[in-house]
Amino acid sequence: MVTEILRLEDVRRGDVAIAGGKGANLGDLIGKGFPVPPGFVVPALACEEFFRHIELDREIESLKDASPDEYDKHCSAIRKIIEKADLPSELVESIMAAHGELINKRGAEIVCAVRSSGTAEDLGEASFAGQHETYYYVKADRLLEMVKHCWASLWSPEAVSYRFTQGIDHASVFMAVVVQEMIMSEVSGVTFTANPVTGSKDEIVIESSWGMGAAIVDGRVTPDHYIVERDGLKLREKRIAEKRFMVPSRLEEGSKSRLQEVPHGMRHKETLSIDQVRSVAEWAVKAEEHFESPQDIEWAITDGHFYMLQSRPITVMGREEIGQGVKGKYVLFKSVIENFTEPFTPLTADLMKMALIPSVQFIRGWLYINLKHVRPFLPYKLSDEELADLLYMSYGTRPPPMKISLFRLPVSLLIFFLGYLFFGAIYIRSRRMPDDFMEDFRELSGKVEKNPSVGPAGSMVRLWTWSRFFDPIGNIVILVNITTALRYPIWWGLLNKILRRWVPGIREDAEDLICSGSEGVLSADMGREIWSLAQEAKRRKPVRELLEKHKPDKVLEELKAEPRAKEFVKQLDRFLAKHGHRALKEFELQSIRWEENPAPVLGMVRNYMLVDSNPSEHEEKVNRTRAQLEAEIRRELEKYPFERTLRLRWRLIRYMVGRAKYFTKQRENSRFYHIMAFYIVRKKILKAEGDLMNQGKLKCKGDIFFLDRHELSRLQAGQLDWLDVEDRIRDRRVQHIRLSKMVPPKTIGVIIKEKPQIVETVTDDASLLRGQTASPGNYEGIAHVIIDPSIDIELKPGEILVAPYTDPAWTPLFLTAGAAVVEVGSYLSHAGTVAREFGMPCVVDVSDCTRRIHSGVKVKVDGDHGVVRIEPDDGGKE
Amino acid sequence: MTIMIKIVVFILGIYLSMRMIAAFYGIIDLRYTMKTAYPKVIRSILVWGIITTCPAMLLGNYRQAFLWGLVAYVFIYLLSYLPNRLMLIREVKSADID
Repeated sequence: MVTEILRLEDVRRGDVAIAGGKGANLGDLIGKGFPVPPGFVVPALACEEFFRHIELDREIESLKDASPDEYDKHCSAIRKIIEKADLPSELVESIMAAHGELINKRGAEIVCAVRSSGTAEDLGEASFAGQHETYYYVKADRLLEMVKHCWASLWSPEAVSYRFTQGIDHASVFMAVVVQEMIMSEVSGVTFTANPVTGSKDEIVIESSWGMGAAIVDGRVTPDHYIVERDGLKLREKRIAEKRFMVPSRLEEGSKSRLQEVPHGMRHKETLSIDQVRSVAEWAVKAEEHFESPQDIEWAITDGHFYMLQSRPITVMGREEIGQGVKGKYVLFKSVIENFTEPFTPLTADLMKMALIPSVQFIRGWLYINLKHVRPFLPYKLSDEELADLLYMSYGTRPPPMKISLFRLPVSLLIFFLGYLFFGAIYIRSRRMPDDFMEDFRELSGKVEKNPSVGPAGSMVRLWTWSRFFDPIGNIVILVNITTALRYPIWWGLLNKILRRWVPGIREDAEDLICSGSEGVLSADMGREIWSLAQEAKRRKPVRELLEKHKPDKVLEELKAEPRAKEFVKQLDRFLAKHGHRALKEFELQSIRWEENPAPVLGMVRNYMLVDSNPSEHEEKVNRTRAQLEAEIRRELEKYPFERTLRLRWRLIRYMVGRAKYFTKQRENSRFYHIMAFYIVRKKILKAEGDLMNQGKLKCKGDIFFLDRHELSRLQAGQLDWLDVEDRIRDRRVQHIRLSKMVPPKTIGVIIKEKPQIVETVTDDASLLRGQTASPGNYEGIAHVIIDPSIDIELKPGEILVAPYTDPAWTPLFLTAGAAVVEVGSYLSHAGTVAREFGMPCVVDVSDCTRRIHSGVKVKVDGDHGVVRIEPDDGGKE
Repeated sequence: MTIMIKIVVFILGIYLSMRMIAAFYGIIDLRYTMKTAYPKVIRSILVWGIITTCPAMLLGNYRQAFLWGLVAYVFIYLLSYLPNRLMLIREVKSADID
């Protein structure tokens, strides 16, 4: 039996087969003078001999014939064998002796970080499948258990599945284990010696936060962000985050959660001084030179000393890799992506799948439409590229003329007829309902929420997919959404045809203008109620002063403690009772709702309070313009026979407008209630999370969203424990962080021509970006890039809002904006709809606008032609 | 020609059955506002009831096709709840519903 334990300082780069990739890297770094925490390596040979000793080969044989569905069962059995078996006594003595040496060196008790260190280089991708995990806070009494756990991680279903698809023999794979003293970090972080998103090598990216750095890597905490120029190591940019949580380097006894709140005074404090930024960047460059490739480095600082914890090559995932291995042709589901560009968390995606039709599926967390499933519905001759363009709504509401395919027409008609048979009664029932008919859904949601026997999946089924025979139409919001969404374009299209025929030469946006008006639209009501809250705040001096003085996340306590703010707080409570289920990124279940944290609402109230403009002014302006248009149409129609007396044509136009407005309103309102259903599902998830954290089966808030619903059920049933899910949660978090930094490809398996972004240089400095027109008009002003309105909500009046996407929670920002430029969107998106309501220019679908346009630069928005002109940069901040 | 008329009448039966079902659902859909909405609900049921009864009385030889249309849609409507039920059964069986 191999009993020799290697000291890290004795390991070199070429010792991968003995010490694994991680161990070899760390040993090499120590050997070259890098400040790596001391430690030792349990060699891979010890793992091999242990597996032979416990006769694992029989179980491995049974794996070879297992189907992927059975991996879980076999892997679980193998892991149990490993974890229950005793290590040979000689090996135990060696490991504990090495641990004792670390204690002697420190002169005090220590806790350790225990890391898996895979030996085979071709398992590089498998590091993504659960073999790069590190166990923290390991004391002497659990050291041996963690070593076995690292060895057992070779038998996670993901690792086994990967080896199977790559043709790697299970019996040939072993694991070294690196044990290091865990640094009691005050500040820690990650550094990339090339920008991991753009690949730019002249930038060093540093992210840092209080406490443990691993929590940054997997997205549990929000870090400060620094960009350093490689030449001269000058700080180019910094973004100080609001650091609400940290993972401490010391855990209190009996602590159920690894996340702790950061004291208020430290939340907005910079974690690194300028000297420290430079020092971190210097060490990162040295590591890159040593390894001769861009590096992703984890580090920690304690007592003024810098330590390097891990260094590995940067893996930059390109957009094209998102669709790798995916068979078929897909186009991004724009109706969702234009409200939320990040990938969904695994639990959200898994629960949403229960409500989706097979044509729509998740790929790496984004929703895509399968072209093959949609094609039979459309009776047109379209290539895959044209179909993808059409579904992506690249043409806005004016698609090019399409030829009918006589071959496809009978199939499309049959599908249409069958659809009408199945949904016809719903169609008719939802044709003429009062504005408040879906309020029934609030009662249903309340019942589901109060029922303790219904969990997250059950809530999803009851509220989104399962309608009962005697359910009123107001309870079936998803079908209301679908049936009204299909009818609005039909009425709009008919109106378009009629107006162009009877009133040729009418303005291009006539249909939009004549159909404008937000009476009865709940998201518009939300904007008005926030305005009303702002007026209430303005009227009451104590409230106004508190809102001006304190940040939104702190002001609520102050308001509740102030007796003169009682009315305002009551009004706020009423607002939250009605709209509290809303949030930024509200389709994502992980997003905190306004009822849970009203800070975003208070931020919007403060913004409104500071401006003089009034939403009703915008509405009145639009109303006046609409009245002028209507008068013009009536005048033009009078040239037709009998129109002056009977007004038949005008009545027909009014009827069509009424229908189009009704269906638009109900589609928008049904979304209000979907999100209510999502909030109920979220509450159920949070309840389950609380229970699991109390039982010690989960350690961090938010981890639950990185399980799927099967894993959640099994965790609740006691079939899985924290150690079974820890690795996969971490891997999925890391994956999610990486994907969140990317914009997903519009298509997979199909290529559609992207519009060139920088079309021409107008002057030596100015440049043009092209997008799609969503609201007409021209406007020139100062750009303000807002990536996340929960962090940055101060848009000055008249500034041009530049955003990756918008959803109803962004609506109040439109009040103060002079124009809007949005990266992902369409004519029918929220940005376009609201911009037209407010009468402000808007250009959507402007790729990379949030990177190309910097805050503070002058920009001209041409909403008539879908063009944005960036004027020379006078040193605007990003 | 006779077959064509029967098909048209059958489809008419389907359509009117759909309208009748939707009219009766008005009782459930508008129950929360029934104090003010009841005239609309009653009117809808009566109007579509009369419109449905007339062809049944006047179609003569084609009455049977019309009645089959009425019944067929009721059957299709009940069937439209089946995918929901099947999905629910599948979810319960896989122990995903708690």
